[in-house]
Amino acid sequence: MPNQPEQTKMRTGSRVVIDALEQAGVTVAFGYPGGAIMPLYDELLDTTIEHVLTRHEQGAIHAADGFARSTGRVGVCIATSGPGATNLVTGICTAQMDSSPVLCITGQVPSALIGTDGFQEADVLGVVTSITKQAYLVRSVDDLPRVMAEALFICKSGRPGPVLVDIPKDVLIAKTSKTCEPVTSLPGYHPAPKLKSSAVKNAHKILKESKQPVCIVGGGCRLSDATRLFREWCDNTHVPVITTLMGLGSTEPGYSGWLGMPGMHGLRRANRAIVDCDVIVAMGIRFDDRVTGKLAAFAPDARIIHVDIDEAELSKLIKVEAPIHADLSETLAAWNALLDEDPIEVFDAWQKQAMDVGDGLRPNDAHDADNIPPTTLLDEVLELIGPDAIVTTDVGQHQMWAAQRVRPSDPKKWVTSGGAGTMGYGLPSAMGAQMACPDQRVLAICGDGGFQMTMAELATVARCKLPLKILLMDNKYLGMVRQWQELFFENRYSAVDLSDNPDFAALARVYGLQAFTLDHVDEMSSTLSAWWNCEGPALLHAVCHLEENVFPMVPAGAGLGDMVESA
Amino acid sequence: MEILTFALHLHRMSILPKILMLCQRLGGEVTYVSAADGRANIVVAAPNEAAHRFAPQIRRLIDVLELTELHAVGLSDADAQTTQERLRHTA
Ligand SMILES: Cc1ncc(C[n+]2csc(CCOP(=O)(O)OP(=O)(O)O)c2C)c(N)n1
Ligand SMILES: [Mg+2]
Repeated sequence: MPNQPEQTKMRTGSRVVIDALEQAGVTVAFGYPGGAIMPLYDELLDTTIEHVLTRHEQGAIHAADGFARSTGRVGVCIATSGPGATNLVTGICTAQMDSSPVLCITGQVPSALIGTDGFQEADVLGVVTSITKQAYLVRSVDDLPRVMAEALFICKSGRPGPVLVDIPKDVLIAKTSKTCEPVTSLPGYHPAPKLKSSAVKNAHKILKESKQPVCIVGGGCRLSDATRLFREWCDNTHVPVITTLMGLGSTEPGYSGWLGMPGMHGLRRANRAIVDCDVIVAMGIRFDDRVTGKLAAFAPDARIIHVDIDEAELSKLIKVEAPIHADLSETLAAWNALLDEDPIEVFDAWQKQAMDVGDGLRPNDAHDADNIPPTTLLDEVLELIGPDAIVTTDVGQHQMWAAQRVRPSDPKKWVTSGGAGTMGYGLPSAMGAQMACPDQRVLAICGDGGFQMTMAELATVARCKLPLKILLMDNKYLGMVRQWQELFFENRYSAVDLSDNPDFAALARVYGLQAFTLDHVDEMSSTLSAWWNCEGPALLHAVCHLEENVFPMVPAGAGLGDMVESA
Repeated sequence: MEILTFALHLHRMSILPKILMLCQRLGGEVTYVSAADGRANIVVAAPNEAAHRFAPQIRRLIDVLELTELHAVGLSDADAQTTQERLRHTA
């Protein structure tokens, strides 16, 4: 009937969620169903969103996180109430510590059961409040359109972070006529601080006065999409650059002044430069204790410039002389313009001096031809895969060895759990990255300990035919903990022995992956090439030296100048 | 210990527990809270070395519309100077 006024469209809560995700351009969600979230799973059948069933909720959230980090887009995961939601906790904390935009949708028991200790009830809001950027418990379906719009906005804007929306089952089923336009501002939320040109001028002046400046760039570069502008700034200044674990890949791969990673397992030249410099230009970093070592000994003579979008990071740990509270891209655009107008004398001589200190990396100690030296292996693997592959890691010695060596062509190609140091992150985050970037090569570097925390996701990899490759570095130990026990607990190994590990290649085959075993140095290049070049998902089980240590090392509590380079 | 006194204007009162938990995590002991109609006053005994972290970390919480750090009169000049540095109002 053409003349009748258009009826207000009623939508269920589930439809509201799906519509909001679709409108935000979400194409993939990772999750695991259960009672309270069933209405949403039913609605998922009628969407363009591809749902990936993981084998554990932790796998789902790490996958969403890997998706987010490799693209800069929001990663989405879904879980049911109670144990489903609490299984997300480690992944939420991981995303929060590294400012990753992950949106978690959890089912909650029906409203009438909340507070009654109902079946699969947990106070999810209470559990996640301190590890999310924002969390909601939605009490009425009429609130849901607004909450979804806010959640998507908060997740991605300013300093990104995880947001959780907990939705009771009856709210998913109930209908509403309410709609909500995408949100672009919220009371009490200031994600886009205005850049003060005076602050940039001040930083520029300090840089001009400097003889030996270093730049430390962190995850903020990737999060702000500032890579191109940052590289331009490097070309304008020739300042030696240190990339934190989160900032690896920010420099041009061939940048002549790349000093590498700083901190506990940082390169010699990076830590030395921090001790020797007179100015630090800190961009999008948060002075983590693993980076600074003993604070009192950190850059004792340096004036500090710090750019960060989060005001709470400025002077949080290190007194900053020149804070710039702004988005890094915007700051760099302004600073590059200033450098055009008022060029500085580039720091070539100091850059060379800083580089000449050397990286402090050394070949593996043990010469056991039947097993594989881990750092030689990583050198070969990273050479083979080139700078354009996306590399994810788990946590432990293998992660630090990789971080000391990797030269990604872009920070989005390096996905690792830094702030939280979450074992089990490597494989599921690689799944997320591969889903997000189907045309790119993806490698997950895992230790034997961490791999076993989330290895059920091999089933997901196989089902989705994700052509990612897994490098499993098996030293039959919780290697990083063993190293600390060797060095700081008088060789008293406690609960680190994994000598009865399963045959990982056989395990991978059972799940339907191709698998290779590498246990002899002579076969290294042929096996690596067969593994990397085969079609589809494949695992390489590298049987590594058992008791290698990661060096250089700055012992916990020591200053960066007190690096130890061998046992 | 440093005694910090915050006057807050909140968009939603439900943010209050998050603020109190944050104060605790930063090493503070909340000694006084009063709250009504979107306004809250909080007094925290904060460890000296962490006192400067409270205001910025509370201020960045979504739903905190305004945070003012209040100071007792009679501070020594030196104390007044450092606390003055922290005194910033949200727009
Ligand atoms: C979930 C979690 N539990 C415990 C730890 C502490 N931890 C850090 S590294 C490590 C050992 C990792 O062993 P493995 O995965 O075999 O890697 P390796 O160090 O041997 O390369 C442990 C237990 C952690 N980081 N994460
Ligand atoms: Mg191991």
